[in-house]
Amino acid sequence: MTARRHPALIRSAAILAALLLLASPTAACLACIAMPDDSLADKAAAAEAVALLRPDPRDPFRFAPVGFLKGGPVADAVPFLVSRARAAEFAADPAAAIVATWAPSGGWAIHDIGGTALAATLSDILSRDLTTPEARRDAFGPLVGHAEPAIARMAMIELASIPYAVLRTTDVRIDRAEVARMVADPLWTEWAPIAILLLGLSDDPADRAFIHRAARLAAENGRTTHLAAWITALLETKGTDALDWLSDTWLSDPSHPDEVLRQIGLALASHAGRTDATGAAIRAAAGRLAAARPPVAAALAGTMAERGDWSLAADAERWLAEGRITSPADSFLLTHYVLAAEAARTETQP
Amino acid sequence: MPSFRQSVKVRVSLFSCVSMITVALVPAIAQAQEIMDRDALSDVYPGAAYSPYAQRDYPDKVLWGDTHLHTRLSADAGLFGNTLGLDDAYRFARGDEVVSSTGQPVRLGRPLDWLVIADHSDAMGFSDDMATGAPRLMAFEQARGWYEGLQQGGMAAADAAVNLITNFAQGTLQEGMLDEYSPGSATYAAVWDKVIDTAELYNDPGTFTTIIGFEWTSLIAGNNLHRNVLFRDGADRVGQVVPYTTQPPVGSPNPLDLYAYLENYEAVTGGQAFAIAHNGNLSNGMMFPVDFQYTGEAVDANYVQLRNQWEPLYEVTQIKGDGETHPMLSPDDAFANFEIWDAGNLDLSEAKTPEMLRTEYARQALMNGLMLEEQFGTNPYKFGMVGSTDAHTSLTAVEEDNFFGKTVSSEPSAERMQGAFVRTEQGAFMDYQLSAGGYTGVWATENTREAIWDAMARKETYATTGPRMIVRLFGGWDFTAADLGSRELARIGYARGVPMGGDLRPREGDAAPSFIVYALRDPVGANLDRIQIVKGWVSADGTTQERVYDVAWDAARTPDANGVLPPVGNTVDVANAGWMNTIGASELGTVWTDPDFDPALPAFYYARVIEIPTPRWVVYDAKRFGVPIPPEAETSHQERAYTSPIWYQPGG
Repeated sequence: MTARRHPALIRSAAILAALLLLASPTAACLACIAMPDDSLADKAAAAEAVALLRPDPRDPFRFAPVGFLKGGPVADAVPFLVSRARAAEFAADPAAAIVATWAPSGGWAIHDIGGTALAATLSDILSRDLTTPEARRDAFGPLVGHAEPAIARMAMIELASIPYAVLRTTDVRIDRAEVARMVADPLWTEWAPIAILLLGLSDDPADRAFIHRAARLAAENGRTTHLAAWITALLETKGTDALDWLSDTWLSDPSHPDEVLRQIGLALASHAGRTDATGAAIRAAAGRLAAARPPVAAALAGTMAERGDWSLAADAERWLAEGRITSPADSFLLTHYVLAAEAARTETQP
Repeated sequence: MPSFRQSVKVRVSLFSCVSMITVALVPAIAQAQEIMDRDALSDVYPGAAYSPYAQRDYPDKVLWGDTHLHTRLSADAGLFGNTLGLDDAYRFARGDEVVSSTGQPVRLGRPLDWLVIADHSDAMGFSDDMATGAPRLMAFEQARGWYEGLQQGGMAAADAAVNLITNFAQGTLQEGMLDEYSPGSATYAAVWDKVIDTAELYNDPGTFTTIIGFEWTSLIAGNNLHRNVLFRDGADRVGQVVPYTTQPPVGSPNPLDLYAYLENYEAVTGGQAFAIAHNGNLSNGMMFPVDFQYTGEAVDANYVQLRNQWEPLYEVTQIKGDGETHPMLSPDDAFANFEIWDAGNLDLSEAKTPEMLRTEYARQALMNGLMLEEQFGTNPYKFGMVGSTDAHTSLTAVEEDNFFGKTVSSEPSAERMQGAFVRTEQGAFMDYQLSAGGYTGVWATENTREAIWDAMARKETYATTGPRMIVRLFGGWDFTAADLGSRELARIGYARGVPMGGDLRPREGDAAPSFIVYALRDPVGANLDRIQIVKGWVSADGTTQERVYDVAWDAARTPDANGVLPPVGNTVDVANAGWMNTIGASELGTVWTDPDFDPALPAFYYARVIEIPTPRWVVYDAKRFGVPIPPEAETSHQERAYTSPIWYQPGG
């Protein structure tokens, strides 16, 4: 089934194209696994009220607001129990407070716990204009590795949500041992990719060697865990030299599973937004690879649409028509890419 | 032919009749004659012997064990580094030295008498086959890749493990792979056969008993409804079935479906089985419903009858927290705040609210059970107490100075108390909160599978948070201090009363119930602070009530003007990881009569035995690893035992 056979879809293609760009993974770090939640800053920004909670002196098992960072006061009582562990934390740190948000639709939600630094940081964040990725980079980059765990977690989630092209301009660096620990611990799976990307920004030869070794091991073992992040970091550290290696190692061998190709595609797409010569070389290589391997094309579709690059539209439409795309996710991405290309053509026709 | 439960009731009734006859025959012995003289002996043991230990027909042995241990057969054990299997678990429990998954030699301070290995029924054996490279699993390309990575060690192994766990959690295993580890497959049957065969191999009647079981791991949106199933039988019967799982269409997360499985098991095989729930504290109010089940169905006569029938026990304490009561539910109970895990449900996807507490802790459930009995005629929460570890290390090692953690990641190390067991925005279960507990004491006639299971079925059990104190509790109508002084309290208790787990006989005269309660400290453990009787009842206005009575303590202390017994003190030396038995008492006992008894109101009574303060496991870690203890962590606590209750019903 092709888009051309569905005029109704074509008529809405412009809307779909817009949606594609808005919802596209190119708007965020492509190599990152989705974090379990929005960041604390996002939640605070979206809430009608942001409160700091401590145990109610009249009932130590219930919370009561001790201050508001935004909005308030709120008539609804906080419904949650002050757990034994929380009570111990409050006892150990008289300045500790839980950050909670309130919205008319969802009521109260509790979030992280921290001391005065968390409250001060959140107040600062709430006062900023964070509508651009660069602003978020500048606001949250310095908070990576903060002594207050809640702040450090918020910073990592935020950095994982900004486009790689912006992320790579940050000065933030991360300790290699910390990255190794995250990579080896299943409980840190969600945090490992952004840590790998930050490590890739390092100029330290030992850090770079670590990345090269990890990528080589992944190739030798056929692993896909965090592969997109490792390849993104590899491209960062080796530039166009990594392209030949990628092609020789993975893309010329038809036996590699689609998931491997998809992750390599995501890594290429992460660098596709670069404006330097390396970016151009990566885009050119990515285009060639995508034309040969549909899963790579699917991974790249979002960034290509973002640039108005419709060079793969004919191939993608043919693959869809021939039923060569077996993955529903790939099919979804390429269908929308084709529709967006169709819409673009329609718009440019006299 | 009567069912097992009917037959148990018949047997208890017969025993009660015999006991009553005995009481009628020897009132002089029971009430005044405490020293066993010739006449008394000839009455009690006609034609028999001097020895008071001969010809006993009542349970006279406390047998120690764990109803809930996981090996590498459980996916959440094997995939997270547990390399120890069934053999290792049994060998360790019976007292052998083994090497833990982290390479540390480990041995129990004292052997256990029995063990239930209760691996998760869902995907049982998958991780074991991955560890051994079983051909039936290696037939899958994806599994082969993981196995090869794991064998390489180092970063490749870590990568393989992360990839495996991620695919497992996200349900992206190669098609057909998980089906191999589900009921209906030859592989699953073979895994279960191995569980049974290994249990039979290590079952040594009279010395060490293995009870065959599994864990049915129902999780409703992160809310814990887990149950362990314990079979009374051996391979001939248990081998006719495979465990029940939670994943539809083969399994179900609904306890009512588990009960149907148990009923079917008994009908098909002629065997006997029951289920034990655990961690109501992580169920966010779902474990002990009083109005609606988690499905939205009303709690009705069918539910209360089935729950009563199939769940005679509750696992009241374990590594993931103590579940007797919560300080918010029991504000007047100074000892309620013990090893509490109350941040939320099991995966902390939902924070706890105060309203949830009323349907997830044991004491309140016992009270709610009385209330439901008034409504439906059956008490769904008429359970006895057991304590277990739920360790996922294959090591039932919960002595505070020998604690090998919940999982392999919490086996002894300098870092193990510094992180979080689970942490989300809703809260955290910190590693230092892991509770080194618990065990179960079973009053049985002999160390056999049948005797232990039967004792459990009649609730003649008590839970401890790790120590092995000896505790007796009998309820009756005419016990006196002299009965206790006789040192023959068990004989007297069985003859004129009922043991823990029983129902008080019909009221005699105008008396209030009296209880013989006795505790002897763990011989290598701490002295005792006090014995308490916990009473719960439903008042005339239909509300549940509770009260904790201090009934026995050392002679050095006297209650204050308000009747409050002063604290026993604390000898814990944190720096040196030690304590002294210079406070408290080595044994305590009393005959206690309920001063607030109202014969019109249903009630239950159980004993809680409190030790003097001793160091928590974090103190031993700090000493041995030279690391600081997190400031939020408690360094000492008062370990305890909870007996099964004795129930009173008006009209009896």
